[in-house]
Amino acid sequence: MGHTIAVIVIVGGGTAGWLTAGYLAAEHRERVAQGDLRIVLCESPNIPTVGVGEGTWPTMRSTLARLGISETQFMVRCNATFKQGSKFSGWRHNNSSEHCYYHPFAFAPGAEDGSLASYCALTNQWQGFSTLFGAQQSVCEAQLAPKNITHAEFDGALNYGYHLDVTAFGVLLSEHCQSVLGVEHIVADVQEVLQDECGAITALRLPDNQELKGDLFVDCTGFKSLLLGDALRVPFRSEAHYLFNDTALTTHVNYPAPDSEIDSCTHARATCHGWIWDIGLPHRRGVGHVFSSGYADVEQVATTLANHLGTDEAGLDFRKISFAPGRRDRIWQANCVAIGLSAGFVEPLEASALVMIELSAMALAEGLPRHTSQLPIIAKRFNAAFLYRWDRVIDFLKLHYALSERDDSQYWRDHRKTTSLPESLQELLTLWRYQAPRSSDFPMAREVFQSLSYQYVLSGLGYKPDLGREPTPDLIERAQHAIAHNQQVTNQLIHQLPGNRELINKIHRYGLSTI
Amino acid sequence: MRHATEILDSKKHQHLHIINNRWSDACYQADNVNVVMSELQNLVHDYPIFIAKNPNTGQFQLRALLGLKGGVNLYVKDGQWRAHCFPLDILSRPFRLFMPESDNMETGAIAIDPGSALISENEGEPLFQADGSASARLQRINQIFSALVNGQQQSAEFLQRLHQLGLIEPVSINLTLKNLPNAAIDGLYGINEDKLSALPSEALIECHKNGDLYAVHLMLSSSVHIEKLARWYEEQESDL
Repeated sequence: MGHTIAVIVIVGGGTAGWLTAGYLAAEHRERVAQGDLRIVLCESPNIPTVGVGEGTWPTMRSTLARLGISETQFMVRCNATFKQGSKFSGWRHNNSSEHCYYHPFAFAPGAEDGSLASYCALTNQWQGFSTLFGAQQSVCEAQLAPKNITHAEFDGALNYGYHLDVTAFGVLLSEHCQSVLGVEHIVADVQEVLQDECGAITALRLPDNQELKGDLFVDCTGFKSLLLGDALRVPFRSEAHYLFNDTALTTHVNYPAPDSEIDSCTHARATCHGWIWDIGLPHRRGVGHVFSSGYADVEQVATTLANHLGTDEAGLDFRKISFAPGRRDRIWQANCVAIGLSAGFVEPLEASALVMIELSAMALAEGLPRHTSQLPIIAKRFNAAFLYRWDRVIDFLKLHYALSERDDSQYWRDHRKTTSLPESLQELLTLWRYQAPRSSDFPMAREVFQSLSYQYVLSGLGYKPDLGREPTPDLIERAQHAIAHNQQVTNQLIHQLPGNRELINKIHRYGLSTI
Repeated sequence: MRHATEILDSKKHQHLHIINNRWSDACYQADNVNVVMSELQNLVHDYPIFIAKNPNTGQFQLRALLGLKGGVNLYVKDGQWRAHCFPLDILSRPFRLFMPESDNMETGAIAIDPGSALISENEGEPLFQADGSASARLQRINQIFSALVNGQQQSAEFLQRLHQLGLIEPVSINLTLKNLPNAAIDGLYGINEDKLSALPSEALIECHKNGDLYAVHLMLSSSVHIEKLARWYEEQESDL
């Protein structure tokens, strides 16, 4: 029984919808060209898209390359800049100016097993971990780019992602998917979701009694979750007891001068109500304050944000975004999979929204079932993989709050209560009281956050393992060699790399070469 | 030591002379120089020609290799230049072109490093005549810079056409020489001969008509000089 999957209908024309369409159409290029597979994206003419954060992970480079979008075109069209990681200020203590740490994107070779972090713990250099074994923090502090104009597209001296204008990105993706990748586009409101007796979606009813039939449906309808939530009634699971934040006040600010340097990292500054992001694009900075409506009201937060920006709040045009932190109980049911906000959303602390879309779209495209009889098995696998990933994202975000020593509000004190910590995170923290995070702490092949990311946060926030021994001569030798090498690399990069704005100006003018 | 450059001025530099052919001077110590398309025909007889990226713009440029190791020019030995013809870039030294607007030749001015050892008040050729007009030597320098600037654009367009045809590829020069670090020969690009021979006939005819194919063959033929550089390099090492 069943039939071949030949028509995939994506509902929603935001970043999630177009990225999914792009991944599917690029992965199955030949089938689409032969008319053996149709990718149809249906979007409402009336629904504005929600910009899910302006920061990407380094994964975006391979995503763009897969879709066949040139880096030069992407950077120019989307006003993109280079992001090399995040800088966290004020997360440890109340005073936000006194302490900061980085979560850089660069890999520290040989650190995955936790040995180099252990060396830091054993030699009283725990908080120096990120600079001892990596150049990227120093490069970010010097406001330098991760590459030179002579690097080919998507190549760099250091690992990097982007800051970008997501609205412009949506337009670029939409054009590229239609003109190059053969994605079909329908602009219409979905009036009804039609299902068969087993609960699978058969078609969408559009205006004028038109029906859009499909074999597989992708719900990219944003928070509304029109297909998976509304039609298939997959319940929403709140994560607000772990991650309290449910509101963001956002605004744009100008640079002091048109040639002001652009920071090459996302700033995340903690306040008594939550934290403030600061993301530099070429022409403006995107700034926002994330907080919990249960602990602070909009007026308080607006004042805090205006104070941070050193302006009068009356002069700022705030936009308020509310969200329910959480996810669907299942992300794939029957012949419907949710990608993007429709699957779930938690606060943007580690810019995990776009990367979850990329991972989901990639998994869907690579594991695309050919026949409907495969659906239950693929759905089971997909759900297991992505529910695991959601849990790891929640653990990792919560870690930033759990280790903070801030006590200037009930918000921060409640964040540390054992009852507000996921059990999985409690277990990890118990392990890490006596050992540094290592890759074997995480079983999946494609973990969202690697052991190194945990090492950066733990060392940054001063959660030092008690290893109860002296470093072995072998470890000392290996670590000192790595430190000397890193020092040399750091000096070279500081000398060679251009300023972030300088490089972006050159890319706008000359472009990057494909080789 | 690096000195600030000065724009050449017929009053300020009226008595300046320039010493010729002193190849041991520091300004000639380079392991590669920029080359323009019009020079290929001559230079391929003596120099290996490759493609590299302009460090300021990332655009492809033609480059002649003069050495294999950071800053060492193997063409200079015992104060002599071991080739019959010279890259324009070398002949332009110790002068430099100062272009405040990099794409506007009209704004260009010739500049000199006042600390250069090739400058003298009494030795060599004068730059200006008694009435302040340019000497024959300075006129030659003007012509060289003019050829370099005009050729730069022509060469960039030539290389862009090759790139669009997929003919440019990164190359690694593998030489087994003692004490040779790879750094000096990183970042080079060359012609992909397989792609060249597989070019569709229309593209090939087009390349032939506009002269690109000839230039490509000149470049390919020049790679034989790498062996000469390797030999010179080993001789120099054994002299040390």
